[in-house]
Amino acid sequence: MSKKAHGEATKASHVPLGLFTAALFSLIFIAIPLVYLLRRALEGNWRSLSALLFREKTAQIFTTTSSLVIIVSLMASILGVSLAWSLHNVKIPMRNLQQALVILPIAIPSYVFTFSWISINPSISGFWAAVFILVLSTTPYVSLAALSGLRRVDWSQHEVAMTLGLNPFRTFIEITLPQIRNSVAAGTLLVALYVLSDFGAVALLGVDTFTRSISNLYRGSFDRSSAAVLALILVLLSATLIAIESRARGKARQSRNSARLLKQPILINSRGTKLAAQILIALYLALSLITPMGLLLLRFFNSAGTIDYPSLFSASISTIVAAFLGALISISLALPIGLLVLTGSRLGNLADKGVLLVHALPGIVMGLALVAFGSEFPWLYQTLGLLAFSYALLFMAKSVGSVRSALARVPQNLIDISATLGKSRAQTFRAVILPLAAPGVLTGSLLVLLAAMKELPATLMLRPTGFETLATEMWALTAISRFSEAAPYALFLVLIAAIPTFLINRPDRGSNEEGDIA
Amino acid sequence: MTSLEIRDLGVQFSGVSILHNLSLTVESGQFAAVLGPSGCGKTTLLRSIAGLITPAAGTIRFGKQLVSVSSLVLPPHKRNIGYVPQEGGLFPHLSVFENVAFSLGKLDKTEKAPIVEEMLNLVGLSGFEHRMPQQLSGGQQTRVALARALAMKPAMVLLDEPFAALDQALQAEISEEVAALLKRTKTTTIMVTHDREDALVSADVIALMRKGQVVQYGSPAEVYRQPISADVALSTGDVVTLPAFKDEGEEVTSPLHMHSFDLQPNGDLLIRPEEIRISLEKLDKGVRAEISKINYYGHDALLELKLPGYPIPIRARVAAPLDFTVGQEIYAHVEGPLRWVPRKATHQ
Repeated sequence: MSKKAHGEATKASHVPLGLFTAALFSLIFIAIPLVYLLRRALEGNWRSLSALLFREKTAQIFTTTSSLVIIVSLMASILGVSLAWSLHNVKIPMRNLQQALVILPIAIPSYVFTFSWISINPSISGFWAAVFILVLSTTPYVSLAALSGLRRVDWSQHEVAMTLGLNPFRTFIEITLPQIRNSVAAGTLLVALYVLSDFGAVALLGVDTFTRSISNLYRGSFDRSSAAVLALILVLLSATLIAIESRARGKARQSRNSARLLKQPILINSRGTKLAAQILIALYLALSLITPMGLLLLRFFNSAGTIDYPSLFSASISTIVAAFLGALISISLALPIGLLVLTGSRLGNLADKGVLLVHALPGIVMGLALVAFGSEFPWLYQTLGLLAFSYALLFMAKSVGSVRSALARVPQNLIDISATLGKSRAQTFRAVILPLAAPGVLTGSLLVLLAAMKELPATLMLRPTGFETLATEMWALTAISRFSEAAPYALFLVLIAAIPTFLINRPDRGSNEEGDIA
Repeated sequence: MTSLEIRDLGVQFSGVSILHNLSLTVESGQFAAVLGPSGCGKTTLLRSIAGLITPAAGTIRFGKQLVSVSSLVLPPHKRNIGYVPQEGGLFPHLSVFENVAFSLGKLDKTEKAPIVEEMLNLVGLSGFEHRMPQQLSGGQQTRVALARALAMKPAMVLLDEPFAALDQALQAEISEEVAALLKRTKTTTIMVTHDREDALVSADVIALMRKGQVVQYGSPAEVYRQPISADVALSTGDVVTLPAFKDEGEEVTSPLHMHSFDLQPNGDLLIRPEEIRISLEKLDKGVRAEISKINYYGHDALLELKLPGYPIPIRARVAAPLDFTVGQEIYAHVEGPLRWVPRKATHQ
């Protein structure tokens, strides 16, 4: 009953004017890319657009893109769940370390993966190469979600099932899997979104998906509205995925039972299972972490004498500065929205949906939209500010999500007590809510920082002239097959991106919330 | 300290009525316990007093000040109420000192220190200023929460099942301490609880709640000894309910008064198990009974008695040491004033 009372009490209270204004301001910023994308698309001449829309090539792009999305999602989810199960249930040596390592490939952008494999074998290309590389780089999204799902399953249910005569395999299928299904679904949908918006891997491997075709149209023709039309189709596709994802996520949240201390599994110690699990994990790590990292290191040390250090350092600084600015803007736009969503007001619900819409914009589309926006405001076009703004919008869903869950985790109880102790709402916000939500808000900023460092397509389109980040330097050198020169940039990018990855998964923070890093 | 007066309070959530026509008065300096099963609305009552929810109807007064009437509701931070929720609700990011000083606002640290010291001294936790809440035991957390509530010199203190999370031995000790402290400082206190012993031991007055209303109000002895129904009687202790007949001469007859009771009952007799007396010899009152079961508790025991001609065994409390055996025949009678309630008034 008291829970119900909390809900009512919060809902009944009105939204303070300052918060309302701040959130409205954020919402207007969020609307910019969508508005400009639509304008660009509608500018074009309708006949040529419909020709573009209904030509055979478009159907081919659609088929290639959706096959890639479906195959990679399926394979990544099977691999991810197997890895998570092995890490959670089997008594392997240095379990915590191995768990951390399996998540680490998240710090490696898909184009760096592709680069490292291409530099081993330059003839790698095509659809199945893209499947191979994207499965390797997206599996951690599923492993992470499945692991946090598994941590919430009470082992005593497993024990009861065994006493009722189920063997371990059937117990997993009938008891455990249904309980982690929602987490796995959420992780898999993240994989699907990643593949849909990926640009680096498909571009390097010559696979004609929407992102590559948009980029080609944008660079190759004067009619930029064609690119915008393809971009709109892509947005529609990813919006569909996001709608499914947010629904799956909602269900996964409901099943959470945080109050009770759950019984953790008794680890499987049979030699056969241990060996199989260890081989699986080792194989994954060899392909996804050791090969690319080893290769980058090897190339780096082989060419140590010829490395252009000044440009390497300036690109590192540029990467950090742009990503940092992006994270800063993102979190300042996200805070009022997160607060507003929690008040349950109508504008709050609208803001919630609005954030999801921007989330549906892949990097290449965001680049396209903001180029259109910037072309009307020449003083903005190709500035660091606009680039950082694009990062902020691209990863807004991450920051709003973190801010929201951090704020929601502040117990209502403490807010009530603060009120009875004579603090006004503004005072309570400063003295209780903000300090308690700070770690979550910080995680949100780190997530944006990490994503912005790895971002490629929007950076290529929006960076100021002469402003090179690690990603763009590496990209330019790979495009002309100068692999040895590209390697140091890739290595530095992975090393710098590993810092926020490590901070987000800090071992002393205990188990992660599902999908935190995603 | 101030008195509390609630008149015809009504609270609704999404159309469901949680409290209706609830009235309650607590004198200044009194310790009142609100006792009732979970879901009866006692926490909602407390939150209405604190101003954390907006009632649909009724008035709440602190002394002469009207704090809640229809839509005009004084916000919680202007009510000067000390609220101690379950498990204390200490701010996890603040030290004990900062928690206790939380309500002291703009005072600077040198002004806060003596107040915090006095409060911690009061709850027996001097020297704990620099601990963090996670470093305290459950009982210590409750006491710090109380110190925090008292530091603001509140008009009254509200306790929401403050001891429910503590283990049983500690519960008795802390609740006794807290009650003694609040009475010593003449603090008007409203404590919500579902633990009948807690209420009986600590409170000056007890309000019994059922389905969103106060159904009985009085001193612990009154509500224990004169329950208005079997249901209400159960909330303050064990009760034996026997069918009974009351004639025009106010004479009450039950299976404990008459061998093979065969009258048409027009009411129920409510008896506390300790009011049933056992004797080995036949007295001029009482009936013969057989001991069918013994529940031994150490300090006392409950005997289950089978009365002739009455199908349901009844329970009698006897003090230790125990020299009865199962199957033994004894004589039983009721001692003390009889509580007879007419049939339609009972809830059974």
